[in-house]
Amino acid sequence: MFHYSKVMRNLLLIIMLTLVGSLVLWAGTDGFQAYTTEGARRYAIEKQPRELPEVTFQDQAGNSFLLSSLKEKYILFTFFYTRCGDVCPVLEAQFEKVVSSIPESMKEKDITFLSISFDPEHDDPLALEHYAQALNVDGIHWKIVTIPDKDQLQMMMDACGVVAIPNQWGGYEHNAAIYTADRAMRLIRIFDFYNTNVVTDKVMSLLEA
Amino acid sequence: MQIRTWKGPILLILLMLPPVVTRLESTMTGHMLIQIPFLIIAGYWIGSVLKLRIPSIDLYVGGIPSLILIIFTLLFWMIPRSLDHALTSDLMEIAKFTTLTLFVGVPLGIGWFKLGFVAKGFVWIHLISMVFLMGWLYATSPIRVCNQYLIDQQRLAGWILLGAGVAIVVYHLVMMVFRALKEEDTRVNREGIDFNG
Repeated sequence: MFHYSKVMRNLLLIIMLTLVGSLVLWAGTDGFQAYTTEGARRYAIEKQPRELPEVTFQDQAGNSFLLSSLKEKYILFTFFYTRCGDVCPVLEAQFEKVVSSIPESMKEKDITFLSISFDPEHDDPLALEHYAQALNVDGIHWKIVTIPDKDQLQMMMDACGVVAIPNQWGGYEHNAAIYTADRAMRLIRIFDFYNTNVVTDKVMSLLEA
Repeated sequence: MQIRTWKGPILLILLMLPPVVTRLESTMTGHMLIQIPFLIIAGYWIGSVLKLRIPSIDLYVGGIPSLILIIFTLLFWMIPRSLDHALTSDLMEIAKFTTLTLFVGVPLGIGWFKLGFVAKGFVWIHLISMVFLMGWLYATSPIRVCNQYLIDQQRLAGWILLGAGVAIVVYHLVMMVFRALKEEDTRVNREGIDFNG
């Protein structure tokens, strides 16, 4: 019965390895939900909202304000830098669509919009102001800002999972998305910027809830 | 001391040298298409030497169970997230070196030539489809699948993968034709000219 026992042993091993292998793949992809680091972060945030760090923004008018001053409102925000020639203009144009799709009455008390530059070295208030003029930025409910303090900026980027790698043209390669914080300054959702209807629908349902 | 015996460990040590690690991992192509295949080759060489030294080892390693282990390990390291994670976590980096060598290379070195026709075919088909799928994904994806690499890198890696996929297919087609010709040759020599065939 040598063959029989060998076949049995192999069969057992095959079943065991398949089980363990599938389990590892399952765990490594959050139950076959997230295959990329970005996907994993979105999935994790939806399951467990993440606290945003307190930071000081500087807007296109040169005014400083704390993130916590926006508390009690939902915040929709993006990360960009003004010299960006590829993804940022598209991202901000899409963001503009979202901003204009939300009724003014809701902007008064329920939601505010920020475009955050992660390049404070180049993006002083003047550069931000230039950028704001190209978009339909009202400067009240939608502000173009940067975080002048390097440590705070890094903390904010880490919390949102934004990685900006310098590229060969003196710019940055970075992940672009639309981020949502709830009234308690917690990151609750990260949206793709391709389909703005999804963002608008979700935001409206949050605000009406 | 023969170079044949030690080339596996030597390659592995070379790949583990910090400057080599940094250099290869600084680009997606270096990481995916040089470091990972070479880790497997190092393991393969170690495995073939083990097989020579301990001939009975293939009773335990190298059969279908090993094949399952190989495929799951490869699948895991094909997930973009795993590659990203290896760059940011030392534990994952160690796991990458260990599993690709021990779970993929070594069993291949011990058992590849023992595997039957169907099992070998299965491995090749699996590899070819994975290479094309990943190549196509990386070459055409408008977004970066790895946060740690630039998109140009990703496209380049994608095109190289597609090229590698084509090369593997062409290689097999050529081998197939050669083998068929050779078989035909031996058959004709053995049986004389086949008028029916």
